[in-house]
Amino acid sequence: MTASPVRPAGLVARIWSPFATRSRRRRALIAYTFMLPSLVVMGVFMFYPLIRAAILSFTNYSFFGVAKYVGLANYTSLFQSHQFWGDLGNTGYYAAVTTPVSIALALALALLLNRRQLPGRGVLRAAIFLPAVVSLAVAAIPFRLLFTPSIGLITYWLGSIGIHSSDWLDSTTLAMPAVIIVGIWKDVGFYMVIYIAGLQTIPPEFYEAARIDGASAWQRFRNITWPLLSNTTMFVTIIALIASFQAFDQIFVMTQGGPAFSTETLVMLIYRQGFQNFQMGYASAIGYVLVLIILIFSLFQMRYFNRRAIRY
Amino acid sequence: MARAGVSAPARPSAPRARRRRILGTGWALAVAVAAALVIVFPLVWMFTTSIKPESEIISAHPGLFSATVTGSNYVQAWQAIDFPRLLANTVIFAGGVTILSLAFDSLTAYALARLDFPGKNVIFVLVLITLMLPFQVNLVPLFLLLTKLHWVNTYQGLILPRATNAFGIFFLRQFFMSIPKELEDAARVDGASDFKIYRTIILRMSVPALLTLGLFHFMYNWNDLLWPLIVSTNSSMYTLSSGLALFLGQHVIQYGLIMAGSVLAIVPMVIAFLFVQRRFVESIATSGLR
Amino acid sequence: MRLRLIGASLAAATALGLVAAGCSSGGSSSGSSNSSGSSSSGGHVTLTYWNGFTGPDEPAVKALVAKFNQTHKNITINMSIMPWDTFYTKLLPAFAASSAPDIAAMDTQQLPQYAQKNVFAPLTSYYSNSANGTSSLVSAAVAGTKVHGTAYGVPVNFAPMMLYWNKTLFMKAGLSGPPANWAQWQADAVKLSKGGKSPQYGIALAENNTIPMWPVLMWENGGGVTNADATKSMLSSAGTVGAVDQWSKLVIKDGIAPKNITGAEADSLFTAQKAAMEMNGPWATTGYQTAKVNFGLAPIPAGPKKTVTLADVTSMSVNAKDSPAKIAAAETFFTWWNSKSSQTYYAVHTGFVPTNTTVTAADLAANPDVADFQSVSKTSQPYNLGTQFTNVETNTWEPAIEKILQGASVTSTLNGANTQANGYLGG
Repeated sequence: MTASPVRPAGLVARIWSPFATRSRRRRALIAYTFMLPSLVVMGVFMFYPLIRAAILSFTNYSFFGVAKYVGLANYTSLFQSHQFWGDLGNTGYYAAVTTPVSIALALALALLLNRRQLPGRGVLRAAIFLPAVVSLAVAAIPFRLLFTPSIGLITYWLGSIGIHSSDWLDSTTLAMPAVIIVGIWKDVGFYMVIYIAGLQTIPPEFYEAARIDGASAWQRFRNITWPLLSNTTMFVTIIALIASFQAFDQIFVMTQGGPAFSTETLVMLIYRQGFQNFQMGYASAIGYVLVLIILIFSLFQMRYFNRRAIRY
Repeated sequence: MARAGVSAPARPSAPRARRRRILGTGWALAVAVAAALVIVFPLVWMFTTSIKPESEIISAHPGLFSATVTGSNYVQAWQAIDFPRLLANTVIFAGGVTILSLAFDSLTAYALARLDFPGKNVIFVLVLITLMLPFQVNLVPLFLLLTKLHWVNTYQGLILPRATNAFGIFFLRQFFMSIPKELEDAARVDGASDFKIYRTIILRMSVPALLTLGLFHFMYNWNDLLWPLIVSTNSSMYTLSSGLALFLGQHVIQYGLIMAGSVLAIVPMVIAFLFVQRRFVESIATSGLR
Repeated sequence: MRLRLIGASLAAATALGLVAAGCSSGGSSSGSSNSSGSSSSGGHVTLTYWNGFTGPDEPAVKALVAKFNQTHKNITINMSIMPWDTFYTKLLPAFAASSAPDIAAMDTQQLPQYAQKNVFAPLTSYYSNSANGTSSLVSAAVAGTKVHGTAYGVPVNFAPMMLYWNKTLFMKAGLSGPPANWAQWQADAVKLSKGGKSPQYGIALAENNTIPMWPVLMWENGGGVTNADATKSMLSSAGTVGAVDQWSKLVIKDGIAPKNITGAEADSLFTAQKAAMEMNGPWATTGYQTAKVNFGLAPIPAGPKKTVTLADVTSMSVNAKDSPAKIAAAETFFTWWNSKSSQTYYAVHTGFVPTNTTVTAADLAANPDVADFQSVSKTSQPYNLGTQFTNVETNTWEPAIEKILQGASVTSTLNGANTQANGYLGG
């Protein structure tokens, strides 16, 4: 890419001085050369559709015929719709539970399974990671069947020890916890593996030194592990937040947003309005409101973690 | 808790420490095994269902295992789809995306993590925004674009839109940021170019992260059912999971058959994970740098 | 060594990128679904056909299409089977990109939404040409393909619902045969229900993700979701309110059915012999036989106002943008598909009722259950909510039933749903 000849050390130091404008332009050139392949692919296949979708959100596009510009009509009718606010509430509920719980569980499991003395940790890691490998469309089948009252294996076992459970998915109060559990089940192993990869980058000498100083396990975690994991944690929290704000698959398969819309999320609404009611302009507007919400949360998180991140 | 405040090193005697560590490991093992069992239970059910005769899958007295074991679901699943062809498509698709994406993502992540240039934050946020727009919204403009390019039903239509990935860029950026600057500075003084630093220092120190990301890319595309079905109308272009999706009938669910097909699709991914997992351990053991 | 690996993978990636960008097509060229493409050269017509006949339906559909291609040298049907969810997600962008298939199959409930966008060619002249043999098609199946009086599709398959009843459970409860009218039906359902540790239900009554079951109850009581041409809601009519009131009370108070279940769960309950009755289509017989359920088939018991059952119809339509040659070829396929011999094969292998009335019970001897279902064809009617299907069904009456089963007032909930539905239908 950038075939730079070997230069004398003094010259290098001068070129890399932050005050030289020539070098600034040069550095920009290098940086953009590095990013060129990604930017081309992203520009064509992501940014371009992104902009097209943004334009659609100001039209009455419905797949057929010519789309007409309608100004902010989609957005204003969106904010006046009870359905939107209800689904926003459901989405917030889902995200507010799923994000912190799955991250905390993932970190705990990562710390547990990063112990070098632990026998069989490879197999255990694989077992916990396994749900990430299964497509939710398939995984939802056992979940529905295992929890069906009177024929489901789990409800049957619970029943035989005297606990009678109603069908969670068919109750307006319990359906959401049920799809949240499946969401956490699916992603916790995935985040755990990211945390394990993060733990690998912490030099073991730090722990040796701390141990010699007599630091307790909690102190080692508080003063070494947690701060040094902040890059990983920032990544995991933002990814988990995006994923939970976009929850769709298991809800689509398990409840279709019901009963009585108690599990309908914004992405479900997008799907319904766009692909079942053909209101793609309106659906795109919902999509962009969702982007805005996630973006605001993510920027807050980034600021928070950037202030705490350890930089070398 | 307050032991750090004690000035003299308060190390317990060696055998006690060892006993405590063993005890701690025992607890850790118990908790980890319990967590793994809970998590893996639905998948165990999938497997045991796949070897049950269809007549015993749903019953008033459900059990994890049945008295009779049958391989007929696997035989049927194998015969119902062109398994080798679908597998080859999946490997081309998932493998192609993984290789391209690892290369492109790591280059961009290097620039975002280690270089200072105008527009850096803007680009980073733009990259993240591509993750935030739901696929359902992006799908229509993307499909129209692929049709215009005549890329529907082609491998490039399947692979190139995924050749780079905001998730991957973000993931690697975070890891590249944790690599100590001193190593890089020493190389710069020796006159190394950025590409050389990227290649010899950053990539080399990020092998666990690259393997992990490679596994994620591979797994995600391996599993993806919707995208291959959207981009290809030709069943000879289908991937394994989209082919297996055809087992799910409109009115009838053949539990044993679907579960057998799913198990067949999972097994290669488990092997891939265990492989990457081993490399994890190796990379720590062999890296003298840490 | 690791370094070299990465270097090599980089080189491979670049090479692959170049190859991918350079080569024009990885798939077979016949897979092109461009309807305006030049695939009709020299008298030979290639038609793309999308549908969602997955699962047990797939082999028979594939075999028939292969047979058609073999016997029609001038026409090739290029079929793509995908799950229905994917099918609907994909069809819309495909229409927008003018790359929609020549023939698309879909549930007749969905058809009006597409037909009103003028994406399918009207088939008025096809039906009026006596050479096409449309007069021998099941009338309920044809009725489902009509939108405001114009037919936009030809039936692919047809399935009236029947009452599956578990003989063993009936006998245990001291009942000798299936119910014949609502009074017996409701009394039997109560008698067959047991609460407690291991509950048993009189009937498995699904309301979401299912073939319509509640609407059948509404119809039999003189009500319905909408009127016949789907211009006005009937959700607050006396018939609908009465039906929902009676059955929801039985569900809530007597526990005759579990609340808010999906079609798949209803099937599982019947399979496990935990539900004694279920309204279902002919596709279910194989599964229940495999599970060794001793069941009988009966017509849906006579309602207070009429005796009627649901006709579940899937139809196929031809792309409005197709050339006359392609439309003619598609019509050849339609006629062949609904011919006596094709329909006999299809019925025997899938359990669906033949769309062609000239197929006799004797022709169906290889699969005797089909004849039972065929016998209730005459009392069947399609479930058609017109162009507002999604809004009226998933947005309005399904959530209303869900709320009622959670304890909400029947009359006020249905009145609210009625206003909501009329808002969609009028607007």
